[in-house]
Amino acid sequence: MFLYFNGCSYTYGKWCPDRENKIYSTLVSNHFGADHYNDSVCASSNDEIVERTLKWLKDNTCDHAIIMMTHDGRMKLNQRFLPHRTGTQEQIKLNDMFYRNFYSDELGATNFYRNRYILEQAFEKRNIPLLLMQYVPLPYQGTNIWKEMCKGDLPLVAKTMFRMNELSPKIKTILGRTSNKEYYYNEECKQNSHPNPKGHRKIADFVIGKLTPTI
Amino acid sequence: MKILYNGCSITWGDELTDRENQRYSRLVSNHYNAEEVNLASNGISNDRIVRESIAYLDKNSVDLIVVQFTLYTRIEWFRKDGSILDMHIHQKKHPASFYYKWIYNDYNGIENMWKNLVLFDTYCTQKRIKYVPLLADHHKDALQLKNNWQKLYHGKPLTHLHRGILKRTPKPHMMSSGNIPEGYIPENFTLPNNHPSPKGHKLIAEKVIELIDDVSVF
Repeated sequence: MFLYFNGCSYTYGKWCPDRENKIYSTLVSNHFGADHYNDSVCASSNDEIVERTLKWLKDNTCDHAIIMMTHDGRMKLNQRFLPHRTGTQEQIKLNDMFYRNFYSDELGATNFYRNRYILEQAFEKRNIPLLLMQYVPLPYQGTNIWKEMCKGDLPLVAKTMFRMNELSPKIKTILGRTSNKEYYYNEECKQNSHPNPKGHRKIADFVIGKLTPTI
Repeated sequence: MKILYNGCSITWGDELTDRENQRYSRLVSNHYNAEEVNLASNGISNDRIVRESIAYLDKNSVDLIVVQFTLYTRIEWFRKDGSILDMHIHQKKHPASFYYKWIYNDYNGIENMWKNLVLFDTYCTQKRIKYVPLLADHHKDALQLKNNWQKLYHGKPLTHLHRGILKRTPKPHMMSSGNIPEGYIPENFTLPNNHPSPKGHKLIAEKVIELIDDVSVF
């Protein structure tokens, strides 16, 4: 059996000690005795996650795909736009201008669901089961054609204080708030930004639970 | 029989004196004695062409869609109040002025065009909807820049409207400014603002009929 994983730094396992052995893609693959490929890249936008996935699918196949979509606020345009960008002064300045003058939650949501729809269709076309997860809830709760065509709500992984909206406290996620040290605190970076080994274990258990009935 | 058409001002029939009867969508539909549904609008982007076509196809049944993709520089933008704007490179006001100065580049635009093509092809393939893709190329050659999304497109080859059907190469001075110089004499198949003339629409209709017969719909 071969599993394909893609996503941003959460799937890459940023800050996770003993990363290659402790991240959820390895834990899930070990559980099923499967080979796997983790195609994730830190700070990816959904545009890049979808592009990488389709590029990989062009020449490869898998038995199951597990993809965690990232912030709707990230976009790939003439540079990678991230809500909290670091980099050169020029990049940071342009990034700030982008979010202040141009970006809206509806724009982000439209791009998110358009990307999600492309992913869902690509796997359906190839008859490959796809488990999609979503990093955080979207601030925009309205609808658009792409949302209507996607297959229901996705399992949510985290809740961040960043871009919190009034719906967030009621929404259930796999790991809960990023302020929860149990699943997020990493000694190496002395902060709660990404899942620690226990957090990865929890995501892995969730994925295993979803995949088991179909394997 | 019902044929859906979507595209920009070319498919809408801009500059024609009798738009609804002279545009290629009517000529093609008359040929097949088919119902014509033309969703085209002036100045729209590929984002909107694909979004509105899929929204229509999802709720209505058609026998075929002729989709005319437009300039890759255009993009759909969502205002904070939820309304939608199709942005053009020649718009001087915000947000277009900001976007084209700071955010846009041709690689970006062409990538978005091919992403829309992949998306539309995937949708039609999944739903078993036959389609004929056309491409307006009166400003820049959309195939000049190679990119990842182009390699991911496995749909029908694009038929070029200007360089292909109308055999017309854009004048260099019109490629970036969009202004019509004094003394410019329109060619037979296009009108002063570069839209197809009645003769041009006839040529397009003939080619589209050939392409439709090729996909064996009727």
